Amino acid sequence: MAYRFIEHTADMGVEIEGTSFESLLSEGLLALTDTLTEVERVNLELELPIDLIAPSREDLLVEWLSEIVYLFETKSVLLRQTDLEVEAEGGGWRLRGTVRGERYDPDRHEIKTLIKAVTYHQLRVKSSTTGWSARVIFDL
Amino acid sequence: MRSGLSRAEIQPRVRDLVTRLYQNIPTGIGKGRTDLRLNRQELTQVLTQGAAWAVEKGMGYEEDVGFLEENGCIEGARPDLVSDRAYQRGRNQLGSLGSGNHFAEIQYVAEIYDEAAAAALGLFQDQVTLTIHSGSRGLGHQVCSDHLRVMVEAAARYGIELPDRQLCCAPLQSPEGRDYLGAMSAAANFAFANRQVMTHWARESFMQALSLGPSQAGLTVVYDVCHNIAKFETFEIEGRRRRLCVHRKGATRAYPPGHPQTPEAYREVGQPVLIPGDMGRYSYVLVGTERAYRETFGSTCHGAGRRLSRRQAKKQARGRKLLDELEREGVVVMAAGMATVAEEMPEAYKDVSAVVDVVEGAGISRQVAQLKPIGVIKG
Repeated sequence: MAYRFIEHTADMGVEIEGTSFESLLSEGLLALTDTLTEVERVNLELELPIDLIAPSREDLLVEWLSEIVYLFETKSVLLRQTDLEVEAEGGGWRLRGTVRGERYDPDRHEIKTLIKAVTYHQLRVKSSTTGWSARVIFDL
Repeated sequence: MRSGLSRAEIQPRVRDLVTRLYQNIPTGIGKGRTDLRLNRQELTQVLTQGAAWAVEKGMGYEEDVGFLEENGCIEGARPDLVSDRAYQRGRNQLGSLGSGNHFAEIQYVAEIYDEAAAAALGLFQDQVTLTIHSGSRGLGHQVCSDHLRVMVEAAARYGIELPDRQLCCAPLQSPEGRDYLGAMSAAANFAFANRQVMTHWARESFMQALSLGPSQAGLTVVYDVCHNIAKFETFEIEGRRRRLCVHRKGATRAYPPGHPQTPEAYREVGQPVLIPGDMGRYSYVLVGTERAYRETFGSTCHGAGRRLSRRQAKKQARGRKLLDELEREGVVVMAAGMATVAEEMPEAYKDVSAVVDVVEGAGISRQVAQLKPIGVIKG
């Protein structure tokens, strides 16, 4: 598991790591879905396309996780697996790919905590020789 | 809301009452009731009209809106500046409680500190009351997220240095500032309508569970206050009347006696302030003061505030039967998820009585009554 939850009085913080920026985004998804429900109980039954653009990597991380919150709330889907590619585009970053999961089923998926929003609060994305790390706070 | 019922009258039926509330008011994950689905045009009306929209649709009484902050509608709302995504999130959420610290709670008046003020607010010892704590739901959060993006960029352009990007901002009179105020006002109107719809369903729940007619259940609105909003209000500053944008975040408006915005029925005692505590102990009804008007732009506290983080609370709750514990204390709780109950357990919060003592000591509001919970629904 390349993410860990960190203490934050009113909200939920998470630190994530990835060998590439794409895997960082994937770990962010796992952390988010793990906040929502038991992530291992999410089956892979459907696939959705992803195409997002943001001016910086930090913004792209927030955009990406916000997209997952939006998809859960409006399409009732829980997601946990990705196939993503990030490329520089127009001075910013573009994320394309697919995300997989299944429709929320109240009988099988106990909701742990709902996420209202993904915030910029204390947001940090860093690269190192071994890969990428980030911190993000969810507004609950 | 106050009822015409005493604690003894409902005590044998508390579980039925909580069950009805839980059935009638959706909690937890997004979805509102299937019998209230809005098309885009209707949602635009909600964003423009606020609580009055629900009343017009038969969910509530006309007199309700006179007891809501700003009469349940912020003027100048701009639904056209609310994104499609926010519309999508709000479409099925009108009339839903949400999760986290949101709740609907049946209480009784446990103590009265000011008889005259309590009488003016229509409160009496042992009276059954109901409090709803909810807001603009996913729609409001989407409005926030959408405008944060704009503001991060705008702050840089206006040369504003940010200690944290979540604090991004723009001058009030800038196009970005004005747009945000218009969209936020629309979200606030959604929140007013949301609570109005749930008010209606709470009334129905009382009628169903207790087999009462509308007048017997008699749930009437004491007041509805916001605690996370910026809006224009008029104050006297150094002898001049000025229109100011007051941002209350985790703070509640507390207008004094005699203020024209304080409902006429309460003009002599001041605007009611509702301070929720936690679901095991108590909440408070206060009134605003002249001093708050002078010193804090007519504002006071909002609630207890957390003592434990959500994670710490969950850790401490492990292995415990919180619902049984609360029931032994006389509180019936129904919740969509046990994790929320753990995060929101009484020990997770500061003792709200200490908080209201501080604001009373500071003279920015005055205690009127203490409410104790007997039934709670949560997300």
